[in-house]
This record gives sequence, C-alpha cells and structure tokens, in this order.
Amino acid sequence: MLDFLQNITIADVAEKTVARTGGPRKQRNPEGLAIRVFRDGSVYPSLELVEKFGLEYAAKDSAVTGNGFDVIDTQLFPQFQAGKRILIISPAQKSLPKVDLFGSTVYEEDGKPKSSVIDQGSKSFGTEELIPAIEEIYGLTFAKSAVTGKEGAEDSPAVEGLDFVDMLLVANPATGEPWTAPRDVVYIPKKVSRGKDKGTVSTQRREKPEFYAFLPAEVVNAAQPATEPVKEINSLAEAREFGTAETE
Amino acid sequence: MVATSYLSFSSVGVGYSLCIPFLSTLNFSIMAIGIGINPNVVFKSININEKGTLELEFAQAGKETVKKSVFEQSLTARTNEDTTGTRLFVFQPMLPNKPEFTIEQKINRVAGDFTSLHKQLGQILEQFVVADQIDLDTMDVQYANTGIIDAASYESRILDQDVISKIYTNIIKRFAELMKPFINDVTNPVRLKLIRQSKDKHYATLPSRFITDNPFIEPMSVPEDQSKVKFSKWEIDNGLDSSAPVSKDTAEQKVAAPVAESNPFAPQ
Repeated sequence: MLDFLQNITIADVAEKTVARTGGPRKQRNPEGLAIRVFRDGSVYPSLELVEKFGLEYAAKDSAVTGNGFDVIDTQLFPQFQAGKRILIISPAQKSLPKVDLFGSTVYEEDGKPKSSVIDQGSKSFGTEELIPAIEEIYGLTFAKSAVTGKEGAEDSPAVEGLDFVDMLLVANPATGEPWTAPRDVVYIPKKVSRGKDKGTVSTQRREKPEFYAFLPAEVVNAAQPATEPVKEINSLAEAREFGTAETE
Repeated sequence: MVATSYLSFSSVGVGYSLCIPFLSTLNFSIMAIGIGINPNVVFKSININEKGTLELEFAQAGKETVKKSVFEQSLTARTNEDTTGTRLFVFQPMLPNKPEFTIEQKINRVAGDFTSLHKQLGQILEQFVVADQIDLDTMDVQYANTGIIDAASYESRILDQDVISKIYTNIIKRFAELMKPFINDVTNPVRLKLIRQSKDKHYATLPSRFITDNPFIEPMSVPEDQSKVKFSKWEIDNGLDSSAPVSKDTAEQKVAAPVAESNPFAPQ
C-alpha cells in the first residue's frame, strides 16, 4: 500500500509558485497523516493525526500529557542524512521542553483546556519558523497581505501565493515505520526563539525519538508515478523475488 | 530530485551515520585531556580505586598520540599524579569541619554536596541512557545498607562520616554499573569540559556549579556550532578556563596540601 513511497522524490518546485488559492477557510483540518499550515501561520492537525499520536490536550492536573511535535531542518541535523535538505518531524511528549507544535495551550479556571487541538490553530511557530522553512526548503510561496510600514519603515507589497499547504508525515518507505536513531539519546537542533541568543541554534535532548519526513502534499503527489514503474530483472533470484519466475 | 527512500537514520537502508569522519579509523590515544573543551572523549575506564574513590579515565578517539616534553607535562593540568591529565577523581563528600555550623547547616552542606554529585554523574549518564534508568538518587540505591529509611533516620545518621561514605559508595557503584556498556565506546564520543579547580589550583576537574544551564558534556554528534558545552561567564570571570600553573611562590605555599583538598566536595 505504501509502495509508491519508494518512488517519492522531492521535486524542485521552485518554479511552481504560481498564485493559487487553497479554497475557503472553512475546512481547517486536512485528512490523512497531515498538518495544514495556513498563510497566517496557524496550524491544524488532521483528526487521524490527533488520534495516532495522542495530540489532544488533557486537563491541567492530568497524569497523561499527550504529545506534540518537534520539527527539524535536516540542514541543522547532520545525523539524519536525507541527501537533500528536507523537514522532518518527531512526536514528543508535551511535558518536554521546547516542543514546537501542539506543545501547550491555555486553560480554563477549572483546569480544562480552552480549546481542542483540532481547533486551536496556534500561530507562533508557524509564523516564525515553519512558513519560512517550508518556503525556503520546498520552494513554495505562501500568499502575503500588503503591509503598510509605520513611519520610517518600508512597505511590504502583497505577495501572491498559497493560502495553505498540507504537510504530510511520511514514514520510511522501506519499512512503513518511522526512522529511529541507533541510540536512545539524541540531541536535536532547536532555534532559540527569544533572548540575546535569538536566532542561534542550540540543542534539545530527546529519548528514543521517531522521525517522519515532513513533506508538502503537492511535492509528494507530484512525485507519484502515473503508472507502475517497470522493474528490470537481471537474475533468477530477482525474478523469484519479483514473483515472475516459475516455481519448481 | 531525491527519493525519500534514501533517507537514512537506522539499520534500514543506507544506515544511520554519525558523520564523524574518524569513526572509520578508530584508535585510542592517551592525550592530554585537561582544562578546556575536550573533543572526541571516550570513557576509557571507570573504577573505584583502593581508597574507595571514583576514578574516571578518559581517552581521545581518533588521534595519534602526541608525546609531550617534560616541560609541556609540567604545564598540563591534572587532578592527581597522572600528568597526562586523562584521569579524574570524584571524591566523596566530607563532614563539614566547621565548628561554628549548626547541625542543620552541616546537614544542608552534606545534602548539597550529594546533590552536586548526583547532578554531575547524572549529566554524564544522560548522554548514554534514558532518564528512567538513572536511579542514583532513589532511596533504594543511595541509602541501601545505611539505616536511612525516612526523614528522621536521615537526619540522625547523615552526619556520620561512615554513613556518608556508604552513600557515596552506593552512588558510584551504581554509576559505574550503568556506564559499563559505554566504556571504550568509540562510536559514542563526547565533548567534555573540564575546569580549573580554583584560582590557586590548576588541576582539572568536573564543573559542579550551574551545570544544568551550562552542561559540561554532550555527544560529539552535536555540531560544534550548536554546542552548549562552553565556559560560562562565571567560570571565565573566576579564571577557571585557564590551565596556567600557579606561580612558584604560591605553589611552595601549597606544596604540603593533602590530596583530599582536591576534593571538589570538600568543605571550603
């Protein structure tokens, strides 16, 4: 079922940044194992993703905290060799420090979360890191409104582009499972978001992390072969493996 | 165009790579691992010596041994007689020798010394094992065979040097046990910061202050430009990043200093 992933390629989509709208905003949550990233930086997970990774927020005093995600630029993470710069994503307990997506929320006085992770749509990580990373790494362009600069500041013209991008979590095509590190303890890169070191890259310790490629849906879809690829068979062993050799 | 099947991070496919070039030609060498940020360090041995003191021996992986001149050796920071600076002693806490201290102050001093020990050894272990395995500070481990079972017995027994020694032994034995699989583990080298023991003593030692925010150890897989292992402002301001030997006059004054004084946990 996941065979097509063997043929996924990360297309050079820089030239595909034609203006396009993502349709009306009413459908905020994507389908499949995906996160929808809107042009304003808000991010919404699919219901399937919420259930698979336990992303929902629990009550403040709950023993179960649920998970969020770390998002990693492989350029900053040389342990993970992708051959080309991509984003990868890794589930992490919300209780851990510096979880990038769905890590925290605000609570009512009675300790219940103010919103479900399905509806929360938090923007800070999306605006500051995710959108710039998607644009830079995958060559996509999000639409931007014109901004009138204050006195002395430059005006920013409107930019035509995408209203949203669905980012898919893609497992290792060879196994159908996420990638794992050979060691239990892994340090992943994190951009410092505030303070005097803002913008620099530091690290955060994680235990037994699992990693998925984090790819725009249109990149994955564009890479799917229209027809089954032809496999060359060079030996009897390969033929048997491929199921075309006669059995004795 | 790159197929995602080329991604590698595990035994599947191309395989995980640490991207540390020296791994293909590994060897050990006894280098001067001293005051400073030491790259490519492996734990060569972890022993409890005949005096019951934890002894950490380090080696650097992947570099040729450099023979040092007598002059160079004399400048090398050390913690004991080992002039290569590859061996560190982690000493046990001692009863505060402060007559003016109240009982409570003495208890707090000993507790603080053990907290420091837990943090130092815990930070080393965190590079190799998951947090659930690090149990040095549990009652079962550290207070085994000490008679300490609750707060009352703790307060009544902790100011006994024999009890302090037993707790220390329990902790370092467990530490050595947890670290055993990683001895001589050349596939998992670390970046290790050692500081000067004090302004007066140019022996290398493990940092013990503010180490949560200023870690002294991390895997070499962390790129250098992302490293958190740096000298802190406090360490720099106090000259603890310098391996310069003490002046002759100062050294003569200190010549009779007992070995116990190099104990980072000893009362000041």
